[in-house]
Amino acid sequence: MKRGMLTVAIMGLGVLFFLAAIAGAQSAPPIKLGVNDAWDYPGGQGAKRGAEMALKAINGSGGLLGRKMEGIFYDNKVDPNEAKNATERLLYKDKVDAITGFWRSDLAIVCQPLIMEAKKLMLIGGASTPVVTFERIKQDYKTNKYTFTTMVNTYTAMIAYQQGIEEGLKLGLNKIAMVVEKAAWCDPLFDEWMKKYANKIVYSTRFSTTATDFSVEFAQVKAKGADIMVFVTTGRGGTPSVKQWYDMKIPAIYVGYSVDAQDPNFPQVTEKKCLGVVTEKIGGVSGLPITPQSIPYFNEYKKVYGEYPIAYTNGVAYDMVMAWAHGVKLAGSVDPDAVVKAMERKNFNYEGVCGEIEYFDEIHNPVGGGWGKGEPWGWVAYQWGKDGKPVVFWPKKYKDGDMVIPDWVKEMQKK
Amino acid sequence: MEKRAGRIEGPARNERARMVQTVIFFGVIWTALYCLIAFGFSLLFGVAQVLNLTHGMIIMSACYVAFLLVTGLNWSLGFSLIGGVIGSVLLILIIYLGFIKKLLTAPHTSMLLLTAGLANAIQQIVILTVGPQNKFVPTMITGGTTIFSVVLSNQQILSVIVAFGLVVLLVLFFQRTRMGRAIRAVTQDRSTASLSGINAEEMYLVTIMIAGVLAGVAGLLIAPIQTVTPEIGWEMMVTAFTVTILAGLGGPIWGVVVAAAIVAYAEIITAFLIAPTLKEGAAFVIMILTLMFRPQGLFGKGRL
Repeated sequence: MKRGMLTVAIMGLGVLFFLAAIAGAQSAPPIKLGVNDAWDYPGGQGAKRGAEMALKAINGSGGLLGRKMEGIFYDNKVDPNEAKNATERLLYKDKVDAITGFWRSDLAIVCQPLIMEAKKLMLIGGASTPVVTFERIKQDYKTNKYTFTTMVNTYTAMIAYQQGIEEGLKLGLNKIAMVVEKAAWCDPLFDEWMKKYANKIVYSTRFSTTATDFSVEFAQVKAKGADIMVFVTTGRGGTPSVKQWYDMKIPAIYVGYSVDAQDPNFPQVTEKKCLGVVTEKIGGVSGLPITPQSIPYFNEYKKVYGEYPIAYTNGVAYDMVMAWAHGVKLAGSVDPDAVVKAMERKNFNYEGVCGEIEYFDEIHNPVGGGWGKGEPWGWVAYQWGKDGKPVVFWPKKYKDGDMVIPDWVKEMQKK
Repeated sequence: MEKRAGRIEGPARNERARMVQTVIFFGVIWTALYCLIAFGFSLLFGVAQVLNLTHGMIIMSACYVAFLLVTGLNWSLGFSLIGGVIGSVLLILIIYLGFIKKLLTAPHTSMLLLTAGLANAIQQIVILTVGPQNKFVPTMITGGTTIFSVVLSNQQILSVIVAFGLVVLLVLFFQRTRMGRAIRAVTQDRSTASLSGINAEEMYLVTIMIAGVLAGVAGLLIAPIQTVTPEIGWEMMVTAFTVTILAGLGGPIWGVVVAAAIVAYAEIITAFLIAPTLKEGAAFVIMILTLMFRPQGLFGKGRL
């Protein structure tokens, strides 16, 4: 009898301790994620939504380390001072555990020192400047090791962006016109291509990120006899440039990189003038089954926001936050140094929406899936096909067709 | 082809000729577009002495109304465009009756601050309700036309025809119609006009509505050529302001055409001869020089 009562008492105490542990976990403070981005721009809004989707996914599966995740959002309006003020508020007033956002390279550059000084994780969701990873982590690893990104830097992304040029050269075209926006992120790209294709470039120019009329530039492209026009922009010139390219009947294929051209509705927006235009995108948010996570994410995004993902930033931001959460789970804590160690593991093995991350390399860029070390993780090159659907032609693993010269361009080139 | 001093001149001369033609023709197109943007703003200041910084947002709103009617309600393009113009007229009426009318006798700075604040508010409402992504307004007339080896889109040619057609209509309206003469009388001397039995308030309302129609037409002709985003409102406002300052406040309608041509060609020639990145700065340089050396503008009667 007494033994029986003792057994029940021990079991009861055990249950009580168990319940207390759960209650303790439930009442633990939330893990805070700061989101610092520009919401009035498609790229910035994409990064914000990626973070929102990640927070929803984490909290929907029970939180992180048994704790709820809380997002604290600030709109920096693409202003460096606003971005710095927001960063300082997140660090010292809101006391966040990590900060994500930074679709714009210039803002990532100015905010990084503040975050590194506070020894918090900086999770980059879109900025491609090589300064914050390629340069600063290499130069001063101890200070800058807390920076991670799922958006490869410009030097690496260039490999994807130049696939259109390379395919054009294989098709026998050989006079290149470079029409590239004047922005920090594409300075290295422009300089590199001017050297790489020096003996084939017949015309080159830079334009303002706010430009929407390219009549003079395109007239020059035509006058110089270019048959490959490399057009690079993340500004608003994407859509009008395509319309003008078609309306002015420029006898050159349109390759390069344009954020506007990533819009799933681009054929409708341009009234089908974009057919034949080449751009690149993060495949996992383009309706392509890059990983088993890709399509469910694509559909969930549509359910939540009423439209399919447009800017690539939502995918890289989502995977960046989720990869950090994976690192936190591996570390068993949100302590930045422990998380950095966990995220640097060679068997990190996180399956994201944009691709698998086998590990983060020495400059904290992701490696895995169809992309090796030094390759533009997550990126595919595609051309808008005749039926208004994108035809992926690179990388090989996800290829579903060849890049072609649009019929009307061929006709114009004969004249 | 002729060879001189070891150089082949034929293709180079052809290339230069094509570039000059491009500059001339696109200069005409942008002159027309800038006229469309500036007419409404210039008219409102000329008649009612109102510096309306919401003008750019009214142009923008016509584009968004047309976009929403086409994509959201599946209206036909024609009715959507009419809806866009009606939308811009309604918006300018709300702004005038609800806000501007109360400050008509206040200093210009008060009006500037009021309309600047309203413009920002309208922009934010658009961003919050429709979003920052690019939207589109379908082209009214598709295809292109080649003129002297320069290919122009038919939409651009339509803009030129409409813009210069509006110049003629406005001139005829103000010179040949009773209402136009009444508006001119109010512009010259409101109190004397009132003594003659002209209802000044009614004339202001008519002017406001004409400005709204002009803004709406401007937006709907420009939108298919460019792209529709919340930023275009302020960009159009800078253009309207620059052209109006250069033309001169209270000056003739054709003065706006001349000023628009100066701004358009300055931008295109800057892009062609110096650098495309400096193109947008050309308008600011013109505005600064005008305010410094000829504040009354080229054809104006009053000073800002």
